[in-house]
Amino acid sequence: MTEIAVTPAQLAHTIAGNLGWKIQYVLGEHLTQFGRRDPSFYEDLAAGVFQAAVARTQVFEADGATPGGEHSRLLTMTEILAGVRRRIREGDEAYFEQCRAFYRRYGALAEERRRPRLPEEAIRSFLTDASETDFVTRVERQSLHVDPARFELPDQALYFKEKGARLLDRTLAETGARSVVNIGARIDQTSYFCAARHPDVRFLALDFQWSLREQNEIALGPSPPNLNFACGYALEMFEQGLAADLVFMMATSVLFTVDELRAYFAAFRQAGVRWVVLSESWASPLHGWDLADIPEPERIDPDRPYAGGSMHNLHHNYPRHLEAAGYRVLSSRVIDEFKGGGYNLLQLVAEAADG
Amino acid sequence: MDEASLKEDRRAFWRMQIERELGAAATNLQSALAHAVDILERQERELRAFSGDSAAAERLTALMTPRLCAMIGQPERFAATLRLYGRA
Repeated sequence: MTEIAVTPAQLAHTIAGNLGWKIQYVLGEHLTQFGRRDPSFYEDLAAGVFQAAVARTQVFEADGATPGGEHSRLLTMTEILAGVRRRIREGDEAYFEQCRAFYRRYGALAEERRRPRLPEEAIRSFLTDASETDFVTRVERQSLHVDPARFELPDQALYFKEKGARLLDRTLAETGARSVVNIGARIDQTSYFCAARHPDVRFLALDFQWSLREQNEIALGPSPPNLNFACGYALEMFEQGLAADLVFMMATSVLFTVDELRAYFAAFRQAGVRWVVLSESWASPLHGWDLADIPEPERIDPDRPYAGGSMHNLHHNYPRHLEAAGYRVLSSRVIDEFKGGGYNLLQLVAEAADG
Repeated sequence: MDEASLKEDRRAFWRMQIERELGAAATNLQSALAHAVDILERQERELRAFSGDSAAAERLTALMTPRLCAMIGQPERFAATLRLYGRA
């Protein structure tokens, strides 16, 4: 069973964040659904996540703050989108429209409920749209590198990519895996860091952009020799012959529908992947009034998580899906994430059951 | 086959795949086509370097070919993206 290992301080932030979400929702147009455990509540909410993320970023940027506070040392979507906001201030409305159009297309294509996999149209859109934005050329560079000296600090002091890098680093040391695929890598501080620390392990950063190497080298500099980049739809690539000892996902599998997640785990098993390592956002349920509720993933209905079948599932029952695909969970913990906002972090390591 | 020859060989292979995909339209897209060949050749090389499996690298790169062709069918957008990365 997953260990809920958040600190009292984080629990207080979770309660406050959960309450904040409820208030926002009450003040919104969904008043009549508040408090009901109705799947459509979450499905409607999930459908609005991208627009909300953009709006939230604008608030952070206006306040001069980022979700990780003073410890936000790594590139974040907030910083990326802050670059977009700078362009707006510079009067580049056309660029802003391009970004907004991208998110609209992304939402329309990817948030189809109950889709078993991404449609071809969405993959093509990502290949083009995500490649043509120059987000990374506009961000500050001082916060891009993982510092292992910080690994002993409390979870709340580390930004989420540092926590992910720490989990992967330790898992590599314990398992002896020789090849790693990071799905949804984008600007891949984690693989840069771990590839340098584990020169005898091969890494593949995988995402949709054809320009993934360019974007990473602009942001992070020349890549380690044991790190490669590839563009494509990871599910399809594992089904078609991509293989690795270990698959890592961070802020990635929350974008999968239930059926897609099942397909991923089955494809990993088929491809001989021995270890699956996840470092994913884990939120409190938004229904009801138990503001302190941080559910174990095992409590979630695997077929019907709170977001229904749509993407942006912050409550997948990972253990059940992994076990169904032939994996056993070695460790699973919910730990501190952002101080505010109600987010926690699920870190899980699984191994092939016959491994 | 040395590395340079292998690279040329693979470039020729991917150029043929793209021209087959694009048909007559390829003649109007020569500039974009050269960059697309670069992208596919590199993708195959990266996957081969990761896995050591040449057949899988070619198969996985081929998945990208029609998608890339759809992208270079919008030459102005593609050219703008290339400029972002100093490739054109």
